[in-house]
Amino acid sequence: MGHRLGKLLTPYFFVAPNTLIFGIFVLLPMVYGLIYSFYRGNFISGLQQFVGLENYRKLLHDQAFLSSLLHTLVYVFLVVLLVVALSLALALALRATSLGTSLARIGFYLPVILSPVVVGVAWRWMFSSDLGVINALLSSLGQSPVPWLTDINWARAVVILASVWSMAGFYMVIFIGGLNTIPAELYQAAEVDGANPRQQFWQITLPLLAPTTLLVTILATINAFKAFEIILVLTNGGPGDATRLLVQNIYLTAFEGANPTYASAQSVVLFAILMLLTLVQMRVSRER
Amino acid sequence: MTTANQKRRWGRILRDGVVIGLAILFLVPVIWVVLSSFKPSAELYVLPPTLLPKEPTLANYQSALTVGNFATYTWNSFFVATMSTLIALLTNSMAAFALAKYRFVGREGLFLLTLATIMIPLQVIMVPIFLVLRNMGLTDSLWGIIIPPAATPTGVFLLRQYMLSIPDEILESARMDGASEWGIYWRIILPLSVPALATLAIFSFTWRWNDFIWPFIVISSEQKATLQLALARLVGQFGVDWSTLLAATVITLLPMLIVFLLLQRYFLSNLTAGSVKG
Repeated sequence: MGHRLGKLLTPYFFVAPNTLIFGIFVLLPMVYGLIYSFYRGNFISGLQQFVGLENYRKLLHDQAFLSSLLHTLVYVFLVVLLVVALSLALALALRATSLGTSLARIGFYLPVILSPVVVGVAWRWMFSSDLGVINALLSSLGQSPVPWLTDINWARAVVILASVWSMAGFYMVIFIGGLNTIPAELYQAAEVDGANPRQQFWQITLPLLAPTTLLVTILATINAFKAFEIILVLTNGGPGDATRLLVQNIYLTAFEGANPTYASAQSVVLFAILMLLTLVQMRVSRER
Repeated sequence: MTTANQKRRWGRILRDGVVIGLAILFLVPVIWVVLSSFKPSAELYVLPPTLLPKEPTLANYQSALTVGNFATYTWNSFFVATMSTLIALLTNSMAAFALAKYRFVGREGLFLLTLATIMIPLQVIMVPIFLVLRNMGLTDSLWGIIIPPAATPTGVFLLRQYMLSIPDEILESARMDGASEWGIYWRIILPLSVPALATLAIFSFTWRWNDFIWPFIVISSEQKATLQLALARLVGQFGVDWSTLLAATVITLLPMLIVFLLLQRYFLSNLTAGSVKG
């Protein structure tokens, strides 16, 4: 009898440690976060009063939140556009296998394995207004230096470029995988029919690559919405709040503004956006 | 015919040269940090800067490791990444074994839950997780950044897929010979899963080494900072001390660079593990 019971419990014993960690550190906080968002409270005395949807209503008129949302949307749009274009171009240039393309793939992938903090430091070192190598080059060409990280628009541009730089190699690999599934016979047939490379790209490569392009677009969008660390190091959200995105605004609201419940409402909004994108992604991958 | 072949060969060599050149250009931000880190601090302020250090020195590294305390941060990062990876290997493989090789009530639900947690990024739960860790007394403790991220859903998924390919007959005959269930897991399943475990180990170590948000929320005292956290704090100060900062940056990126260059095949081909960051 004891033996049978033991056998019945064996699988639960094996899943227990992992499930426990999941439960305590992922699911529990998720549920807590949702509950907090309907309350008023702080870090010292905890939840104080149930306020229903008040936190969410407040969001609609909160200048800091709305501008960080707007900045995030613009940032995501531009980053995704550039990432898709660059990683596709890299994949097309490096799809053939040779020593040169293999080495180049390693080079273009390398930024992906760097931590976001390192990426931020490296770009800040290049674009620093007084010590940066970019401004040194400009002044040796007789141009006046540019306030890269202190001018609103330049800071936004540098933040976007650094993000694209750190992500492109990853999606390049996915695109190369997609390109490898296109049968070579199609290109041979097209060549026999006299199609030039440009026609082959528009008529064969792009249409057959559409599922991969969609997947890359969604994955890059999800990742861009989560952006935080590179920007924290590069501009700390500045100048002013010009490069402050959603995640940083959540962090500031919770920890500097000492308003964890209001920050939780913002987290729920971010989660809803990510959830929606993930559901689209699952739909897409199932159809592939 | 030969001239056409020759032409194609030269074309290929030209293309290889161009793409390698572009890749080097792409890496300028990293290369520039590495080269600058060997310049004496006075040379960093000389305009126009030279590409190579005129008087290469290791002084910046020395001051980063001693004055800047980066030896401590490096040890903390190593400790965190190694311990978290070991815990992930153990707990993920146990869960994967049960999900792949047993039938039990709640298996499907648990598997779906595992997949669903991939959708919950840390960015979304950083406020409540701070409170959970604080209630458990795990804030400002290295264990607070070791244990929580160890239950990587990606790892469970990867290992389960791999273990499904191990034939059930092996387990059955071991049971006939009187092996315990733990013995089957420890002596049969784990050794057979080494390729998948190695993949997970590489990715887990990379994720944990590069983690920033975890230590950013959890760690407050200076002695317990990881490299990423210390680096971000250093760059946030007024009047950034670039000579120390640059050397510290190279110290931070070097282990990842070595891992990547030795094992680049895993990164450039293994999309099942790489497609989702854990």
